[in-house]
Order: sequence, then structure tokens, then C-alpha cells
Amino acid sequence: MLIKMKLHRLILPLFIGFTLPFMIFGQTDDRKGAVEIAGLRAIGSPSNPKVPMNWSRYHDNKQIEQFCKDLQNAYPNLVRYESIGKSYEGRDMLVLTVSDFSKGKTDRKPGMWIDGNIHANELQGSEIAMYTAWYLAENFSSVAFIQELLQDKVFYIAPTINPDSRDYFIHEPNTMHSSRTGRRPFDNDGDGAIAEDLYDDLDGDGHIVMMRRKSKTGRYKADPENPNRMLIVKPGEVGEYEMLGFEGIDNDGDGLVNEDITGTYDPNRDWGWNWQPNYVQNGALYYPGTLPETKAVKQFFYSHKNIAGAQSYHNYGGMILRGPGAAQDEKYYSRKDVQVYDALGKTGERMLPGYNYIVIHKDLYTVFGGEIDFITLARGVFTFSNELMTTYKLFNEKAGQGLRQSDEYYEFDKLLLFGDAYVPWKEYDHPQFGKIEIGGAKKNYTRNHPGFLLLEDAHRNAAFTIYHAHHTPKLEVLDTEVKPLGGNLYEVNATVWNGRIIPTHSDHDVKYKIERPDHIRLEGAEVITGLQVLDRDFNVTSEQKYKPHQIEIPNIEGMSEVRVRWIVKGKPDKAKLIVDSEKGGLLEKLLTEK
Amino acid sequence: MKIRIFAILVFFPFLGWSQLDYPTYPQLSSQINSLAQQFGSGSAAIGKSYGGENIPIIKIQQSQKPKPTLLIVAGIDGRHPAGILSAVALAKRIGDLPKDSLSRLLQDHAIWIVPMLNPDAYKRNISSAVWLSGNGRAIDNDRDGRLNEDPSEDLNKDGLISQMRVRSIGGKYVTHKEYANYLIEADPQKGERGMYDLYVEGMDSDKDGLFGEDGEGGVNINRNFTFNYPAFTPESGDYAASEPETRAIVDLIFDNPQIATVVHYGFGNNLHEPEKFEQGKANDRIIGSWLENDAAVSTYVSGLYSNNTASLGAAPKESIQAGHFSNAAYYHMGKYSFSTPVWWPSVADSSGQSDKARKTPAADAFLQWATVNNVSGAVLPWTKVNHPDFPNQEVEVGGVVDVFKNNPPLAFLTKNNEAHTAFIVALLNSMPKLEFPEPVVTALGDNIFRVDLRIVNTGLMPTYPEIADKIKHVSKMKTVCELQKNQKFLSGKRLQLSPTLHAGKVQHVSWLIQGKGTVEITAGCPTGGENTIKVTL
Repeated sequence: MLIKMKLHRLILPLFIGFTLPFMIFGQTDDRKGAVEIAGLRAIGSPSNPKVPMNWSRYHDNKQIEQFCKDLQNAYPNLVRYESIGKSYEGRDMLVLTVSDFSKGKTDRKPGMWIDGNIHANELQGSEIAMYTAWYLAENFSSVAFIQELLQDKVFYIAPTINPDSRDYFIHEPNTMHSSRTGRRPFDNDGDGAIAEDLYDDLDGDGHIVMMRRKSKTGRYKADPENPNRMLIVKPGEVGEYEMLGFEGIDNDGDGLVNEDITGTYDPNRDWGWNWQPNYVQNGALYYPGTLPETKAVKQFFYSHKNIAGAQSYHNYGGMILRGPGAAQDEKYYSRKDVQVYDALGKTGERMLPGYNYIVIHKDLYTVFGGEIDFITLARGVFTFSNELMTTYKLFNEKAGQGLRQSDEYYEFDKLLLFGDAYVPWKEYDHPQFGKIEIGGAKKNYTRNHPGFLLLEDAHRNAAFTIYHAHHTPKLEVLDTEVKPLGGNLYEVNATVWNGRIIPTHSDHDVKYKIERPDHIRLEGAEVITGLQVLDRDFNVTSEQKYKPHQIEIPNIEGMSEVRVRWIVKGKPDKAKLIVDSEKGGLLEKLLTEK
Repeated sequence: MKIRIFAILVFFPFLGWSQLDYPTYPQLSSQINSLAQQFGSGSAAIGKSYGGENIPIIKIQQSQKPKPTLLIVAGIDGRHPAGILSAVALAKRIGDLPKDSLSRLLQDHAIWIVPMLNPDAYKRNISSAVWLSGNGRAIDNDRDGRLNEDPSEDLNKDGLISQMRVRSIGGKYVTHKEYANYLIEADPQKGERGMYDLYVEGMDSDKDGLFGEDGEGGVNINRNFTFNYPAFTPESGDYAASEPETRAIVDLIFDNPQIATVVHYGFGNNLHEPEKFEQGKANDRIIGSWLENDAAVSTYVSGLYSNNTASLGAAPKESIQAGHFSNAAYYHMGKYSFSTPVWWPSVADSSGQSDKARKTPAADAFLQWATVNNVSGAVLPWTKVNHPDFPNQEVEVGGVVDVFKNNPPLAFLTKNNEAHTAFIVALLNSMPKLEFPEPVVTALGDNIFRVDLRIVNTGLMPTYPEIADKIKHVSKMKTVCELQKNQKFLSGKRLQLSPTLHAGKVQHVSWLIQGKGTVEITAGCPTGGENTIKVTL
């Protein structure tokens, strides 16, 4: 620890001294990165970032905000951050907007939403979200693809949408599973008292780990290979220990330990799609949006109708999840929409070794009132939720077993982490259980990535969201044509093309009219009538009587074109074609422009 | 356009609503406020509407100390102002009770009234030509990306929106045989040929073939609750509980665990016909039927209702719709929840066939009522108008003025309010009441004592519905026994939770305690009453 600190102290001034000249050099145009020496750049990563970061560690809210500030200061033309609302305890909910602000109207570009950490014990979603913003800004000047991406698209990145509980998880005693919730206290056991039976860090070591007691009737024994590991004994075999759950005492005298910890609710069951009460969906509260954090994010979606893709990071298990969360919502996923998901998800499996592209209710479990169902089905946005970290990453091979049975974590700890992951068993006098022992895995082990694996997974997941964002609609005017019809009448034809996989409206969106139609508008001409051309070769058209200068197109599908036609009075020399789509962006083109 | 509105204001001082004789919004607000003052709840509000209006509450209670409470909620759907006026009348009538009856009534219970959950609607509707459901939010009702582009329009400038019929070949409607101003669908089986198309009075401003489908009138709060929420339907909002009014009433109910029973004055009726227990639906993961014991309570309360409202005639059947408050109050908030429209068109039946009224179609009952009582403004004669959307057709405005179907002129409410007040009093007297006879202490020697506590529900309803036992955030039956430092439990726990206690049933709790001194037992639940008893060992 000491050595690390010293090194840190040494490196930082060295680093600043080294980067200073480049930082001054770079000030004239912040979209330019710092100068790099080709031989120092490990391909894909900046060797000389303006905002030096250590991506093998976790960050609390203060550090996240500092990162947002630093990135905005370093790249004011690419990055800005804002607070979109306050959490229950009054913390800011920060969102980074990343786009090339010098090109087009930012909030009219197709948007990609990324959030992390809705379950606060699932830390790494925040780091991966932050890494994405950092990667985009720091590589803008050196990677042409990123330049084009930020010219066309905007990223809205919320590192944590549960900031209260993130700090509570980091700074207070917790297990790897606790503090999934938020910090609003509720009466969880219906006894009229609130949060009256919390975890207790009995031995004051800052970790909430397991309690075990020597017992003749116990059904557990310690693994002779690895004393940290408790094994269930075989039928017919006598055990040595009974397991007593996580560290704690019965604070309210109801015979239960730790049964009323702060908020055992689930912020990911608080969303406005197929919401169900807690006896149907454990973790639900009074109604969707009981929590201020949920409200703030929902508000952001309704005021940013340009969001066309979304990712919500969770852990654990190596999954690229899509909805629906509940079987009865399967009817809202048409074949066309599923094809879009499949195209993106299967590429994701390639980009994220060890991750499987699967459907929540079929392959994981049923979720009512989940965030991604809300984003997908209430807002019509193509959304994935990646479950970060998988045992595959430990030895780069598939493991047969789940989180709690696997012995690979013990082996990995022994061979690669040298015992940093576990608190060894030690004796303790418990007021209710008597002589017990306390020990087990630390809260940041198993679900959250070990440091050296974090950077790699951050990049792979960031790349997947970049791929997802790249395939939000990109509309182009393919061609325009003006044809005299005789007299003073002219026919104007235009073709608009979506060159990416994601349509401007999902099939579900078209069916339920979630978003307004796309508008293709002719301005600066006297329009007699307007038509959508359904088949150019056989002249099949449909006429639009109401406001014919602005043709309403229900959807522009992925890798497809639409054709429109107007008949106008007078030569439309100065007429302008405008393509205006909430999720597909805003384009303007003079008819005379080729 | 502005000039036209001005002309209407000057020359047609809301003919229709003056016939209803309903108060203006300021008059109504001040009536509610003075009632709230009278009962000592001040000008309390449970929150603000989308349009920024206070949502008032009248608390009729003897003290601030929570007692099992009956909550009345009205004015959720803006098309039902009669519910608001009836809820206000209820408060007045209870206030007018003789002092001793009132204090007897409130000895163990309280009544809270939220008379106008959706004040935006009343405020807008009372000074416009049409009664619409929603709050003050501007919504895109036909989801075409345009806001309020196709409102209904008062074509004949009579100050209200009625129907519009267009004579056309292939039309679906014909005139009713008895009531000439009323159109019904032609029935080819009866040899009828349609001759009219029927619309709401207005224009097709956005040329989508629909008339007045997207006007003012925001989210219908009674389509915005969480149970069976109807997503993507007109007026239901962007998602369940998207509206501040919806959240305000749910928060009130969760924040005040003493609220035991909820009665809605408005659309939907589960009092004339009680809730049924359907085993299959009750066992589904998403429970879709009242649970067995709760349905039995519904039957009992329905009986109370029939006894008190028999004189009002049979009400038309009116099921509780998707996203309705009353269903959410039962299934999601764990309360006994009832709904009645309070008033319905009914004409005293002299034939002695009580069954006849039920078999009469609802529309006929309304027409009969309007005719017999000569209710002016409810059904209008047809008058010709010129309509640009139908240049070569005969277009007439008239027919039914929708609001009258569920909202009679004020004077007609008196009888109904009297009957419903009697029902509310009977319901209040049936509510759960926990009594706590002195615990029995048995000394077993050597400073060991057995303490036996009996909790008795002397009310006529259980302490809370069975479904509430499933809902985490509803307070349960609980006993807490606090010991002195020198005492300890040999048997029993400090805190015990137990399921709902049925009417007339007794709950036993016992402890084995070692050590002399006084123990303090707190028992009960907010919806049944709580008590603290000291026992000396």
C-alpha cells in the first residue's frame, strides 16, 4: 500500500511535467488531442491522454464528478456534463454529453444513452461508461471513425444513476450483494418501523462477510484445498459447521438477523412498463417512478426524443440482454425488431468473448417494471443491458457452474491475486449465536472485476456501445429531381436513405405511434399536392391531403429508402428539402445542391 | 377565432352549465376550504395538480391521533363533476349531524375526503363548452405528433358541444322511435336502414377522418393508475402513475397506514354487484380477482349499500375500467376499495316490476329520465349548420349533451346524497375495531410469568383485506413486548407479526417471561387501532 502511494506521488508530477507542453500546444483547438509519438501509442489507446486515468480501479461520486470536470475542461468542444436531477439524498445525477459540438445541433443527432450502476453494488458499469466518454474524446483526433461518429451522433453517458447507494457501498460495510438498492428507507418487514435491523460489522474490519459456527449437526465443512471455501457435505457425511448468513445481529428482537436493512427495494423494478407490486415483482415500491433517480432519467428520455439506442450496465454473468423482461410482453417484439436485435447482439457476442446474447425472461428470469423494458417499450428505443463480468474471464474458458458454487474464484484468487480477495476466518463472540467465526469473500470480489481485467472489459463493452450507436439511423438524401410538367407546374422527387441497421421507428413504435412520423418537407415552393411514392417503377403513390408540403413517413427502415414527390407551382429554384426525424436526425438540402 | 370566442362569452353565458347549476371553480374551492376549516384540517392539500392547483383534503376527525380511517375520493375523471359535489355534500351532511352522534361516529374512526383529485379538469370544464376527463397536461391524444390540433368545436354557438349528424347514404344511424332527438344504430334485422353518420360536434381540422379526437383535456387520471394500466390508449398518459395527481393519492394512502377503506365517487360500480372471487385469477402470479375472504367482505358491504340506496332505483351496470383508481387501491395498495357513481338516471317505476329498470338499456333510462323530468339542455333538437367538411350534405347539430348522462342538475343530487351519506355512516360503523381485554398473568413460581394477551376485532370487517398481507409496504398486525433490563423471554419474541384479524375473531399472543417488573405491550395495527398496555409481573 505504502509503496503504491509513493509510486503514485512520483509518477504524477513526472506525468504532468511530460504532458504540460502538449497541453499548451493543444489549447488552440481542443478537438485536437495531445501530440502522440507513434511508437509509444499502443494501438487503440492514447499514449498521452489529456485526462490521465487509471482504469484498473473504482471511483466514488466525488471522483466521478472530478473526471467529468476534467474531461469537459480538456475537451469543451466534445464533452459537457450536467446534473439531470437529484438523488434521494441530494446528490447530483451526472450525465456527460459527448458529440462534436461544432457540427450540427447536438440534441437533433441520433443519440445513444449509456448508464451504469443502477444496482449500486454493481460498480463497474460506471467505470465502463466513463471509459467510453474518455475513449471517444481522447481518440477523436487520431481515429477517423470516431470523428465521423461524433459528427453524426451524440452520446449521453450517466456513469451512475444510483449515486447515493454507490457511495454507501464503497464507503460503508456491505456484502457483494448488498446495497443493490437505493438509500430511501422503507419498512421492509411491514412492522411499522423503518430500517431497524441493518448489517453489523461485528469485528469492525470494514467488510461484511459470512458467519459460521462449529456444530455437530452442521451441513458444511471447510475445503481442505482452500480454507476460505465452505463446502456442503455429501449425503451421509457428517459436517463441521453451520452457516449463519452475513455478519449481523438481531437488532429488533424479532428473531431475524439483518431482515430490515436500508431499502431492500430494487431501483430496477421502478419503471413505467408492465410495473407490478412487490408480491408479483419483489423490489417494487408504490408505483413506477417512486424514486427521484428514476424520475430524473425518465424525464431525460422524454426531453431527448433523439435517443435511438441505449445500454444499461449491470453485473453479473457475461450477458448481452435484450427484453422483454416478462413473457406476456413477447407480443411487442415483432420479427423485424428481433432481426435488428439479432444483428447487433450477435456481433456483440463476437466482440465480448464469454458473453452470450440472450432474452431476459427466457434465459435469465422474469422482470416486471425494469428499466430496459421501459426504454424499449415505452420509448421505442433499441436497448441492451450487458451483465458485466463472467467466470469465463478468470481463465479464459467456459466454467460450468454459477457464482456461488464455482471453485475457480478461489483458484484465481490464489494464483493471480495472492489471497487479496478473502477475509480469513476468525473467531468472534456473538451476543445471540455465541462463539462463531467470521470470514469470506470481500464485497468487491466475484461480481466486480478484479483490477487488471477491468480495462479490457471496459474497452470491449465500450466498443460494443459504439457499434450500437454507429447503427442508429443515418439518413441521407440520395437524390433529388425536378421535372417540368408543362405550364407552370413541376414535379419534385426525392429519395431518402437510411444507411444503418436501426430504423427510425421500431415496428413496435410504428404500431403504437410512440414517436411522431418522420417528416420530409419541401420549403420555399408552392406545393399543390404531396405524395409518397410506394413503387417508382409502376407509379404507385399515396397522396397526403393534410399539409402536403410535409410528407409524413411512419418509418424509414434500416438499409432502406423512401421516395416522396410533390407537384409544385413555379420553378422551385430556391426550394429546400428538409428531413426531420426525431430518432433519425435533421437534414437540410437545397434542391439545386447536387 | 378570438373574436368568435369572445362573442360566445358575451352572448351565451354557458347555457348548458347554468342548467346544471354547478358552482364555478372559485366557488367550489371556497366551499371545500371552508369545510376543511370547519373540521379543523385547515386548507390542507395532498399535493398539486399538473396545472399547479391545490388538491384539497377535508379531514373529519376528533384529533390528530391516527384512527382507522375511511377515505372518500372524487373528481378523478373530469367528466364526473357530480361526484365532486356529492363528496362535498357528504362533508356538509356529516358536519350537520347532531353533536353527540358526530362524536360517537368519530370516537374510533375518522373520515377523510379528497373531493377533487383532478382540479385542473373542473377548472377548465366549468368555463368551457365541453366536459373532458383529463388534467392540465397538453397531450397528443391521437399520437400523430401534433398537440390539440383537432378539438371539438361549437359550430352552432350555443355554448356547448353536442352531437353532429350528417345525412348520408350508407350512414349507420337512424332516429330513435320514441325519442326523436336521439340517434341509434340501425338494425337491419329489424328492417332499419341507416341514414345518418354521427360525430361529436366539430371539424376534421387535421383531415384524418376523425372529428374532435385531439382537443384540450390532458391525461385522464382514472386511466393512469397501476393496476391493468392501459398503455398507448387515449388519455392514459405516457406510463402508469405519470401524473402528479395519481402519485399524490397513492402517496397519501401509503403515508397514512390508518386508511383502511376507500370509496370512490365516480365512474365504475362494484357496490350494486359485489366483487367476485374467481379462483383461477386469484391464483395467478398477477392476481386478477379479489381474494376469497375479501370478496366476502365486498358482499357484506354491497348489502349495506343496497339497504341504504334502494330508493334510488337500479343503477346501470358499470364495470371498473383499466387503469382505474379503485382497482389499484385494492390490488396495489391493499385497501377495501369501492366505487359508485352516486347518481344515475332513474325514473320511479310504478309498475312494481323491480327487474324492469335493470333490463332497460342505459340510453333509454337516460332519455326517459330527461323527458319525464323535462331536463332542459340534456337532449337538444337538431339545428342545421353549414359544414365545410361536408359541402353537399345536410349537417345538423343537436342530440345528446354528454355530461348530462352522468351529471344531473344539482337539485337532482339531493336524494342520492342523503342515501349515500347513510351508506357511508353505516360503512364507518362496520369498520374494524380492535379491543384489548386486560392480559392474564399467571405466576409459575421462581419469577417466571406467563402473559396471555387477547386481541378482539369487535368491528364487522377484518382489520385489512387479505391481499394487504402480501404487500410489503402495508402495516401488518403486530405485537411488541418491551421488557425491563432484568427480564428475559423464555418463550415468545419481542416483536411478532400476524395476518389480518377477521371480524369477531380473537388473536392470542403469549409470552413466558422471567423476572419481575412492568412490561409494556403495544398491539394492533393502524387500520384496526393500536393500544399500549402495561402489565406488572
